[in-house]
Amino acid sequence: MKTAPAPHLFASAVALTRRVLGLLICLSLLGITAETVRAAAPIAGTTIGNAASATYKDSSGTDRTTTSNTVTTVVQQVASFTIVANRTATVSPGGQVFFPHIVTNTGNGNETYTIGATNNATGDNFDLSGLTIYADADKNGIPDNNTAITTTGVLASGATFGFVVVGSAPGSVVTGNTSGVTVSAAGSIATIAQTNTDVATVTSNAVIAVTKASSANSGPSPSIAPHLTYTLTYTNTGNSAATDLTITDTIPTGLTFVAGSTLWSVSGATALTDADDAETAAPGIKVKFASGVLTAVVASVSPGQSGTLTFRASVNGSLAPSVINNTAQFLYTTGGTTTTNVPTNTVPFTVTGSPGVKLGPATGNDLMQTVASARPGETFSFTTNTVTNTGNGTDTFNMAFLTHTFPAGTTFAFFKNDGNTPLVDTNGDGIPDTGPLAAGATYNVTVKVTLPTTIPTTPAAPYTLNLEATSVTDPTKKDQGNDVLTAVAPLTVDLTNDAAASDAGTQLGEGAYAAGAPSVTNTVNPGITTRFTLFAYNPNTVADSYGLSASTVEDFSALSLPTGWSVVFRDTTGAIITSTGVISGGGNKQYYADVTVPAGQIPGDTDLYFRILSPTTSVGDRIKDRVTVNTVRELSLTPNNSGQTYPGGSVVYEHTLRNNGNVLEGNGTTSSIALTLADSLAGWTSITYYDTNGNGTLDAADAVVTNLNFSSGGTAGLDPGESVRLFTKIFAPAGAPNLAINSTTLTATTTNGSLTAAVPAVVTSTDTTSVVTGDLTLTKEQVLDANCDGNETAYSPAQLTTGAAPGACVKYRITVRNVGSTTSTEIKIYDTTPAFTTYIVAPAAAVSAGTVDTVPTVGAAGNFVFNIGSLASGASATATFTVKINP
Amino acid sequence: MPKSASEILPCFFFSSPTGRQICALIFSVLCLGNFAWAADLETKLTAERVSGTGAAEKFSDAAAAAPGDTIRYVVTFTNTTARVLREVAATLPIPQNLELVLASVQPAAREGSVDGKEFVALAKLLKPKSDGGWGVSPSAIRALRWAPRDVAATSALSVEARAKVSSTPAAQR
Repeated sequence: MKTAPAPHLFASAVALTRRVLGLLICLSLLGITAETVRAAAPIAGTTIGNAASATYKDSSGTDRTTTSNTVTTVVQQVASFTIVANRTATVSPGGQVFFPHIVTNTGNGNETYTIGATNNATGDNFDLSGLTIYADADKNGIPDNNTAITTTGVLASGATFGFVVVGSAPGSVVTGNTSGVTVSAAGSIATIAQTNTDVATVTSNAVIAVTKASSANSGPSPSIAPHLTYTLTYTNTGNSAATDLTITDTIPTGLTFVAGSTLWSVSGATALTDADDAETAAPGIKVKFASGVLTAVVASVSPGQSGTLTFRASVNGSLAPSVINNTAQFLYTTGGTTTTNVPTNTVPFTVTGSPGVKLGPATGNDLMQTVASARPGETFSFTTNTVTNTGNGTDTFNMAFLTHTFPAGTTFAFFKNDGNTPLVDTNGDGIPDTGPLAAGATYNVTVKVTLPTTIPTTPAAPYTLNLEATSVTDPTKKDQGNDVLTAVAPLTVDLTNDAAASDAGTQLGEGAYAAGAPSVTNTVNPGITTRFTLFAYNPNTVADSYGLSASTVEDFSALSLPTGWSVVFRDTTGAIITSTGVISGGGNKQYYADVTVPAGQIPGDTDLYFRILSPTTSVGDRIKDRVTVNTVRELSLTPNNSGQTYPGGSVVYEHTLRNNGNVLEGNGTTSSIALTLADSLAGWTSITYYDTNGNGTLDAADAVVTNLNFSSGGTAGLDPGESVRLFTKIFAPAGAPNLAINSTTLTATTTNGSLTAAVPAVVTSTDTTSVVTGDLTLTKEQVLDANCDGNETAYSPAQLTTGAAPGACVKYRITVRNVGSTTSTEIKIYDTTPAFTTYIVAPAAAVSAGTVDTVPTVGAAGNFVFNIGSLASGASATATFTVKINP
Repeated sequence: MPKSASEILPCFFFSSPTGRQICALIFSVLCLGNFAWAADLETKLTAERVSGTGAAEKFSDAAAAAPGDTIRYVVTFTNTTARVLREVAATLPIPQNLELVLASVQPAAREGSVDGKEFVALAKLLKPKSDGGWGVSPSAIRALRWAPRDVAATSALSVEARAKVSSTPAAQR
């Protein structure tokens, strides 16, 4: 009686492995890393290195990166193992039985396992004799040699060890007797033993053993022709014939059946057909291959007969290192019953890892990235140095710099694919690497390059950097790539008005200096300090500082300013500066140029060039601004004089006529200045002279003038700031009464010639002459009464210099004193309203003694006669009156 | 770091080359930013091996660990300057062969990455694909990144996460 074999544990282990394998292969084909499936434990001794990093902003707002120390953890060994599987087999009396097993090291480090086989004491009918274990490295279920073993030797993590337990049944056993054997394995570290139970059942029928072998236990993916040859060997160790021995072999995933490759030992080199038909060339066997399953039916196997069936299968490409297991099944008919399917031994095929690497788009030293330009001192990145794992298993790749043609002093560093975190060593060999990459995965390594701050002209750009990526698994697998910097951009700096060049939009003077219109024009009067706002922007990545200068010379071959002009540079706090100070890369500095225009500067445009220039790097920029000086026209005529003369006499007064504007006045061409005189009393005359010989005294050399056309200071007219000395000579008529007071008004009136700006205001001066006979003195005083209320009393002989505006009033007080020794009689004071004034009653004219004989009509100009009468020796009297200045 | 001291204007005033070099060094450290080494934010990473659970947790040296062990990483950032350092955003990689223990991340990280380069909001990373997320399992997370925080002068900030050494038995290698 046959015991139904129960290989379910083994088959399900196979199925699980197949499922996991299939998933891994499927996922790797989709490009998803194997990390989406629970990762296997790392091999003992693996180094797990880690370093943290952070980005932050420092106190000046600059972005910074920091990286921590590296910590490493070495993975310890955890031991575990499996032994498969429970076996059932049939045996003839006196025959041999073979039980194949496989021990797998499922821990993460090396271990050695002790193996043994012992007869079960109870639960069975007989003991097998001569129980011995033999190695079965090719796992074909048949001992490799005659050497008995008790240990697997050292197995690496994941390694398997095949062995066969062989025993003999005594000749006396009968059909149906069973013998149980316990096969055990125990590890040197995982010391708890695990067992399989094998059962041999005696049969007198045919006993078919089918074993499977492979031409190779490992190889690459894909395999190379003639690929794998699987051999199924069948033997009838029983006592009767077996019929319809049906062997089925499901070709596992990862292998592809080679069509028409099936051969049978009986039919030799005749290829058996895959179609479900009779093998005309090989009677006695029928073979078909359909839906991934090879089925062979051998019609009959006599006792003692054996034969082999071979077929070939190729290993598919792009498989990750893995194990592909192949197990066949067989059943046969004997003694009128058909057995159920029994598996053969499992033959594993290990897909070996074949590391490979590609750096860049292709293998060989290929160009990976070109950066167009960078400035001296700048740090820039090559970001697409792509490492591709062209191998079929997870691998780590060390990165190294080979040669370069960059200038001396250039530094290079590797960074992770985020462009910011330094690349670290993850496998403990001290060389920065990509970390584990799955088969087919890519990783972009960033290289940061920092150029030196001074770059010599030779060697000239472009500059090339060569890199190399090397497989850690197989250091002979390496690839190179190169990156190129095409040009070095010069350092620049930008000087602009009113806003920095780095602000949005185009600013005044942005870009390198180019001759053209001024960027900013300030229009001022002479004597003013005007401010230009300037910005210096440093667009480079290194800091620099720049000296400040100004000149009217565009190319700054000389630093010159117009006579009397000054330029002072100030920062935003108002402190005087001569340099911008350090401006960090990308930063800017605002400063001012305060330009002082001297008083008297003639109108017109003056172009000023401002420059910033670094004394260390010689980088600089210029900007052109302009100061436009307005036309200012102003004259002054001073002073007002007063004096005395006798009837028929004359008085000479001195005046200064000054051009306070900034244009030439009165030369008869640009403009004409007419000098006119008016006397207030009838009979009086006056003449104006120019002090031609400049001696301050009126003499024969001095010319009579009625305008400014005469030459003074070498030319006609008054230059800006020039003044001329004029004399007015006043003649008192012979009949002028005593104490008559005459006002002589000298007026300078300008009319335009070629000048078009508004003429300066008319200027006047007033000379007051009083006639005094004998021993009388006459003094005239005045006080300004701005609101015409008549309350002011602070008379003074001083000239009124301010406040005598149209609509205001002036009060006059005339004091006559008898300085003689005798009484003077019939004293009369004669006066008139001054030019441009009218008489008002605020208060009315009055005398301290005597009477007011004549006053002008209120609101009109006119004469006053004050009849003082007599004054004793030493006595005095006053006359007062008020006038209003014409509005 | 500027190549020669003569490039730094104030250092002109040192007559000796050594003086200029020292001046350049000090000047660079104080005034010119953007270096690889940043001494102002000290960054320290420690790794400890965790045994036991809950109140009986013990920490030991993580120089060695077995598959299945939990390693606790703590990153400490110390501001050694006298001014606040702003927007410190920490990144902690979870190396290959380690599987992140999501509940152990303190404080909660804001983003995660499966490749160390592209960071996605953690919640979205873990949400199933059918829900609009990435459907990533915590063991596939290869880096964590925390939200930026300011670190006051002379203060410290720390983040931590635990990860388990992968322990699935080797099927076949």
